[in-house]
Amino acid sequence: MFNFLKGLFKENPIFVLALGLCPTLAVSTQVVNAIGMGAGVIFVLIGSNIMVSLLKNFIPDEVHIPAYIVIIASFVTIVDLLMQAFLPALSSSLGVFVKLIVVNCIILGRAEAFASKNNVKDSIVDALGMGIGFTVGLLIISLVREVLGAGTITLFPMGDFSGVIKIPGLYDAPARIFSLSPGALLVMGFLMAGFNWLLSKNKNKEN
Amino acid sequence: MVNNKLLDMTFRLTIICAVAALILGIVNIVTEPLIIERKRIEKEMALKTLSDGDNVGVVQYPADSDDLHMDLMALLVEHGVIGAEDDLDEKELITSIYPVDEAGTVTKYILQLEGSGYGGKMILLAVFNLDGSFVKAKLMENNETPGLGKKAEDPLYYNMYMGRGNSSDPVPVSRRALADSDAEAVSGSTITFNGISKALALGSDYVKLLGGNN
Repeated sequence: MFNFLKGLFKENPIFVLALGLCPTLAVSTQVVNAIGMGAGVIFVLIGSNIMVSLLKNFIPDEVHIPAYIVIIASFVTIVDLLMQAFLPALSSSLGVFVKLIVVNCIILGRAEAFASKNNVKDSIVDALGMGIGFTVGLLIISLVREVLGAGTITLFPMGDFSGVIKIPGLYDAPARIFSLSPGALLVMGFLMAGFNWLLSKNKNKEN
Repeated sequence: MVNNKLLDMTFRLTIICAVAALILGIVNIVTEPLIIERKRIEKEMALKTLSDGDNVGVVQYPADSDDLHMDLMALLVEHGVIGAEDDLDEKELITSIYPVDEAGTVTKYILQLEGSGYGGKMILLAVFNLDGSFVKAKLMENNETPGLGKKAEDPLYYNMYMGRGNSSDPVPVSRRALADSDAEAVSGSTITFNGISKALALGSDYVKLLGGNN
């Protein structure tokens, strides 16, 4: 349970470990991107953690990084091809960022720091915790940026629902800076500060 | 000893790569036909929507004519799309030409254009009247940034080009040529705007030279 929960709070990849920030800042312009990117990262993280954990005694130390990259890149390519074939809208929406999961530090970081030293079961739990922690972090940032920067919440279209919820008042006069790069850094900074404040408050209580 | 270790590492890494390649090959065999079919259907649907139900003729390609090329370059220089010393190969940037006809008379052209955006190559299907004026467009394959350059996938994005492109009113290729509200709308995605504008300006000028006679 600890391995799972630590990814959500104590070692949240975005707000505490500050890993995978490039794609986080880049795709967090819309909520739907956060969901798609999060799902992709969870799949790749679980797959690569399983493979690295299974092969930890087979992969020589001297070439472990190239070996991990081959494993991660393979899973990312599988995700990319499956998305293009079965979820074309999401694939088009995420564009190049799916391919960039290869260099997402969270994946390589967990392979290196956890999966290469632990068994398959614990590695899956770690991947789930970290993946969900990353997705939740990405969702919060996207929600703030999209609502303030575009006045919308974009989800998947279903039936008559176009997938876009327009926020009255904000849709006509959004604070566009939140959609742009400086807005990403601002939101990230404030949320990171808030998250760390909450964690330190809980720590003080425990002490 | 050193050689043995090196060989062992190489062997193990090779096995990992070979297994990865095998798995990717299998996934590719399964997904490739689906992806090709999806792209074909997407293009067919886009052509149908863009032609407004009129008949879309057989695909054609830019003519291999030096005179046409020279005339096109002169128009592009005149409209500020390229510099006086620059040159571009329209055969690479205009990848398909679809004449649209009503009762056998060509009334419009749909051009498949390639532009360069923030995320690299963009493929665009654009409709022009015979005088080169822009009608509408659809951004197909692209890797633009979600929330910024991706806005060019919205048909409303092209309202700023609507009706422009005839001999008296060229396609705007800089933000200065736009109304203030349009210039603000493309802020944050200037590279995408530049790529699309230049592709549309090229298409517009090419269609002017065709004049319904490709």
